[in-house]
Amino acid sequence: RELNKDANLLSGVNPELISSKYLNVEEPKTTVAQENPPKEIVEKVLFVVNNITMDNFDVKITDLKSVLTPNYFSWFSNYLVNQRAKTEPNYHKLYSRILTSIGSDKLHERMIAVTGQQLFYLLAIKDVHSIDKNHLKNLSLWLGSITLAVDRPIRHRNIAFRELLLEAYHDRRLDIIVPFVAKVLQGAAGSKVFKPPNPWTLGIVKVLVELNNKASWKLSLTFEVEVLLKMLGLQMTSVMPSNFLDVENIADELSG
Amino acid sequence: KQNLNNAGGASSVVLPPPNHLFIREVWKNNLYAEFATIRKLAMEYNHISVSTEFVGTIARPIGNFRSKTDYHYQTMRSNVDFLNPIQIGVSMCDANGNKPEDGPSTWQFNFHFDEGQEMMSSESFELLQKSGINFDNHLNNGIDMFEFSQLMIDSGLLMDDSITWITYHAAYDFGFLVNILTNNCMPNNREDFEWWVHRFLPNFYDLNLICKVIQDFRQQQQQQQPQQQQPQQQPQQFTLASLAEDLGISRFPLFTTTAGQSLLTSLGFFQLSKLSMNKLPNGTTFETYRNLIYGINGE
Repeated sequence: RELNKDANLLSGVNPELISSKYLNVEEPKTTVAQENPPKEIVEKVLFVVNNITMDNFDVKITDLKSVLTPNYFSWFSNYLVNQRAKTEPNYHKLYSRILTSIGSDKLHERMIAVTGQQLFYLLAIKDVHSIDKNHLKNLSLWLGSITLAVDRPIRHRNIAFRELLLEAYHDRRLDIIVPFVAKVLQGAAGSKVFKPPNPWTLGIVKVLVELNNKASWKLSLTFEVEVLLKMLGLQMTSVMPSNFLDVENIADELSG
Repeated sequence: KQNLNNAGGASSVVLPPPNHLFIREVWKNNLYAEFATIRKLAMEYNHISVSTEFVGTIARPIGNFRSKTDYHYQTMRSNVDFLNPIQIGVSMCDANGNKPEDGPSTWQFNFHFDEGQEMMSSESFELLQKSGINFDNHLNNGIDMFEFSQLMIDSGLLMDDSITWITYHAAYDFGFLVNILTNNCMPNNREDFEWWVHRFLPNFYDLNLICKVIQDFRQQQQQQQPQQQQPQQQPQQFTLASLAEDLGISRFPLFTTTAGQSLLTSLGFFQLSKLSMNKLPNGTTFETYRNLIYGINGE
């Protein structure tokens, strides 16, 4: 089925992948067997998601809640991530509000997992030129808006941000990793917990600033970092950079 | 039916398995490796007890206060803003108080601490030295607090409904934690502080509050039966050590260290909850006191 498309089925081609040990998806624990909904429920869900706005939100969300039982969470997560969030960044706020007002931790975990699967697949494609930059950008923003922006931590066991950046520096994959990190962290701007001076957010920003100073990279990456800093209310010159780049095996050391 | 009032006379001695009594010292050279272990344990061993060592309170706020709890908060707040912790002890176990069979489950984090820069009376300096704090080591090999807080935030121990924190006297432990984790001055008022505590630590128990409830109940009973009053029971003030003694937990020297205190807190908590079948003598359950801080919002 089209909607249940898995991350590894991307238009028939099998690109060469290099996965990072600093990116890990956790299969959500489930007690409810997952299935695809019958046609009438699919239609009802699609109708709500097509017609819901911030103004009619409270009415429409009730319609969605009445049909979206836990056995369809996997299907719904795949739908919202792959058919919606991936291509419709302007609606991320709305979709994130749908997720938080359904108020199910199980659904939230699954949504994060599906987003992670998609993202980590894109990030693993060896030939960076064949990565759809728009999908990567949108999914990164989406991940930030369903985690940091709603005060949910991203655990080290799922994404080790500093290690990932340092690994990308040595593997020459900053072109793809820096936009990913910067876009996810934009979610922190909307969170009382994660916005600076939150030490975790600042710690990653320090690495980005060190990279900006030392890695001779293209201007577009500097721009990525500048946009992030601006959103977080920081200035490049006022952030004390980390001092990791010259340390041997630093990513391994940080990850313990 | 178990009666907590008899717990003091319990002849059984609680002897934890030797590997539970092992404390891992953490300095800046093994900080990352130890956190890797903690992250691996976090899902199964989701009960985290904590204890904090600092130089002792030095500040008293002056002015008018809305209430006693407000005064308590402002006192804690000003001390936490002035001071830095020297050590934090953390001990992990599962929902039944079990610990991993192999490998460490209790850690003592030793922070960078420059005695020359810190506000501290010579009295407490000597006291801390006597209790085994090596200030030279803290100055040269101590953990950077900013690094510690980063590692805590994505460790899996915070902002997670499935994790339960246990402290004995939560106010200062959580005060320092909030201070470290926000990397900012303490919140102006008690309500904001509570907001942060609940964000970072959605589930917790303050064992001190539970002990206070037991103590109050005993005192009430004694007042009702004055003829049976025994003088030696009268002035008893509850502490973690007296609770441990009451519960028959052997006195090991390591229980006086900061990490040992966190270990003893979880031993005390689980032993008390086992003996009492989770019921307190006044008829309430432990759950009644969940997410209440003694002196701050639990009276």
